[in-house]
Amino acid sequence: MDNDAGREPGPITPELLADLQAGLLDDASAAALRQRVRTDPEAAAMLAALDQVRRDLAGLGADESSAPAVPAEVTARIGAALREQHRTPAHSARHTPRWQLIALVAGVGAAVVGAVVGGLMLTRDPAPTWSLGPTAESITATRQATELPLSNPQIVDLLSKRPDYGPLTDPAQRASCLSGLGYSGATAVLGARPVDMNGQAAILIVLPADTPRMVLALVVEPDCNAAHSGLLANTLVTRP
Amino acid sequence: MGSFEGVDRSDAELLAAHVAGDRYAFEELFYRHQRQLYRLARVTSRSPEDAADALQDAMLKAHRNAPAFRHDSAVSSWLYRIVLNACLDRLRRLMHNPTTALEDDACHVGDPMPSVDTAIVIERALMRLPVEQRAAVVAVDMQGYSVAETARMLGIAEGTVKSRCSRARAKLAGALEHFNAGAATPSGNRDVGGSV
Repeated sequence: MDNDAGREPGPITPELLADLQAGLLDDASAAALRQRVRTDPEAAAMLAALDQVRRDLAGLGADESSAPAVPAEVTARIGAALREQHRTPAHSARHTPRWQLIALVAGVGAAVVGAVVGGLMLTRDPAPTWSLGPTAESITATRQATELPLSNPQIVDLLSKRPDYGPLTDPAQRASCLSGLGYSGATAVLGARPVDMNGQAAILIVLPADTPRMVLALVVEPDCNAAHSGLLANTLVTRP
Repeated sequence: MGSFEGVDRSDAELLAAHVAGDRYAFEELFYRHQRQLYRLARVTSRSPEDAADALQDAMLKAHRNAPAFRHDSAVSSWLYRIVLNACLDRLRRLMHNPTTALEDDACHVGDPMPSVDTAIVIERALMRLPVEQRAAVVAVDMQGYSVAETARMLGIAEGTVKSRCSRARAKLAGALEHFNAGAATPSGNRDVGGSV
């Protein structure tokens, strides 16, 4: 745009103001135009409208509720494509839950009700090594069989109460703790309560076990995470 | 499959669950954000078909790359970025192919709604813009990317991004002007139907 001193400047159009807003004018032209806008209410209104457009677009980006429904075939197609991903060998190589190991061990030896399994190999492995079933050698006792601070009836009682996660209230930390124990971070927690384990603060959490009639109670340290399971004791309990 | 309380898992929890091996967590995450993600794809694509293709590519990519997500932004921002990249990447490849005409299909965003709403007006006005102007102004104003970042994603010069944004905004302001009928109408030249 020509801006010689002796010439009358052109009309202020929306396009010109949009160029100003977009940073397309050189510094001198921009300064001169802003000066004119300051004394021209119509131009000021146009510029304000352009600013409003930017705000409205930003609002659109932030407002989920105004987004229209997705065509059903698009949703279905993408959902199916995502599910298909899980059938690839790379993904199915993930370890299966450790509770299967625990349940197998419990079934092998002892009475089911109140069986204290304690001290199993629950350190985190990249791949399962017990596909043929657990043997005595594969069960590494890291701790003596330990009594839990709650009795079986007390553990069952937790199932009907709202879980009290204590130090594991933060969902991210809880998920990390579960993964350290060999579970998916999204595993359903059936009950929880802070407990005292021989003078040490701990949390007892109840997870689903191998069969619907049984649950697994684990006592973990408050700082358990993906790298450190902090498992202090565990037991399988049959629901009444 | 949720927690005992029956409360929905957060985006971060779903993504963590997916990375940990939950087979349905990522799908759930997609359903939660699909409307916004699809709209983003629609406003940065030539056609509904392109939008659906780009959205699928983006979701599969996010599904695979989830373990690399560092939680340095919101999960939703990360998803939007992947979708926007997928769409702009398509446009970049199309624009650089001289034999491909960048024609827009006659397009409508969403169903007609009985009550007129700024969001609806903006979307309709957006979809009347040529896709290259739309893509630029969506990246900069709707998704908040810098001009430099947008230029890189589209494979064009920063000045081009600026001029496309400028034209897009001028046209959108005109559309909203009619919507906000109560606003004072300027007496000067109001030609906002300029060419690309």
